[in-house]
Amino acid sequence: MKLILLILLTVNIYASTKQNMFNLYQNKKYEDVCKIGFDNFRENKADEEFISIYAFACLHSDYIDRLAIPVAMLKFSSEARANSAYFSVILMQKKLLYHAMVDGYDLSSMNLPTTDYVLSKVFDLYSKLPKHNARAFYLFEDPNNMKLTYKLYLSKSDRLNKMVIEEFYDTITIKRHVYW
Amino acid sequence: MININELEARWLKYKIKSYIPHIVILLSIAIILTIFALFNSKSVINTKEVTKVKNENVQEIQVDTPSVEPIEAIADIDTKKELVLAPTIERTKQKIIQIQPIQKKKIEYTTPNYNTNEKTILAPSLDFMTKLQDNTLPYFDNENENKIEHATQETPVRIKTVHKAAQKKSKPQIEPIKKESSIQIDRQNTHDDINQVIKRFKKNNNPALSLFIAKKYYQLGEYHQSYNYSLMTNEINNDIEASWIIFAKSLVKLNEKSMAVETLKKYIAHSNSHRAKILLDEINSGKFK
Repeated sequence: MKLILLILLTVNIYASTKQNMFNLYQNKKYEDVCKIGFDNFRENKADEEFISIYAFACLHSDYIDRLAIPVAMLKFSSEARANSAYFSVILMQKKLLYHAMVDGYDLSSMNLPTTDYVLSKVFDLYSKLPKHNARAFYLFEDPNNMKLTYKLYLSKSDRLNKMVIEEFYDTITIKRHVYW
Repeated sequence: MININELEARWLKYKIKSYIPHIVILLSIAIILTIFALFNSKSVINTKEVTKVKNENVQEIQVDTPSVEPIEAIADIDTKKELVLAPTIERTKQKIIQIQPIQKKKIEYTTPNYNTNEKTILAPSLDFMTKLQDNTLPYFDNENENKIEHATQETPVRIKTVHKAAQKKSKPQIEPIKKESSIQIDRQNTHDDINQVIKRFKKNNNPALSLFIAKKYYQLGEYHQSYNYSLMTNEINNDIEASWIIFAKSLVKLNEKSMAVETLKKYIAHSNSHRAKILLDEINSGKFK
């Protein structure tokens, strides 16, 4: 009896964590969801729904490096595989763009798949540029919306250079993403 | 004479016996924990990898938090000055004012040929979200909703109207349940009920609740509100057929027939919904006004 109760309690705790994450996700508290998912990942690593919510929350809160584990683990359903491919493209584009910005790596020969995520858009626009010398910053216009512009630059520091993408709508900053 | 040795031996036995339940409980907990540990270790991915990455990410958190920091200095490379981003609108305006002259000096708008046709576009699959949504509100289904609708249409009797014949009988008698002795539940103040549901919707942002609110407002003839809530529902989940139908109906009632037709056409192209097709035909033929 005690054993059954304990099992039921454990199952309930697991379920409530996922539900709590889902509610927070719907309220757009992506960073909280990413942190909760990170703390409870080990207990839920077999649950693809849990991993997917965790991954999408981390994506929306710019914790792109955390997508590496979901990319590896999402594989058992077709939906999970689609999401895994989606995350892996974003992760790769982030790494390549950072490499290009910091070390001048040439991306002009690349023809990767793209996504609707801001990083992919900037990656596509950057990779369309011909071989060039490093610039202080890059301004790109969104091809689908003329009022949307993206500013890409490196924020330099002694320890680590960070890649910054700023989204502008009619010269007003609407979002700032920092990657490294 | 008291035999102390015998007494001590008995005391020792008693003491050992008293510890037995505690030991049994501890052992059972230990066994359960080992079973769980074994169960978890059977998973596909090596746990060591997970913990390694976990540690890396913990370091990552210590390094910085990307978008949350309210005030952050940006080294603007062109001007060699530090710009401060502040949370208030005024300060962001200041920042923009400082940035604008830079753009005037050196506008390098690069508009390369961006043909999306050349690229393979990957889209995320969010079907699991709808599954989770279904799990969140098991109590909200069409049957319940219809019952509530029926209840509101009937005469406003507050809680219960037990059959009069049953009331007259003073002696308690066990009788087979008759159809006549029905309990009717009705709600007089629909707006209060809607407000309560709105509060719940604001808490958990559940599309089932917003759809319910939209339907209620539509029934009450408040088409602006029903339009708003069905729009919210569509924003949260754009695969709910009932929500699109309420949305289109509200638009027709708000004298936006062309917009309703356009919306329905788009939705039909997206989902191939029969109900939407029927409604579209009714709107076009003038049956639904």
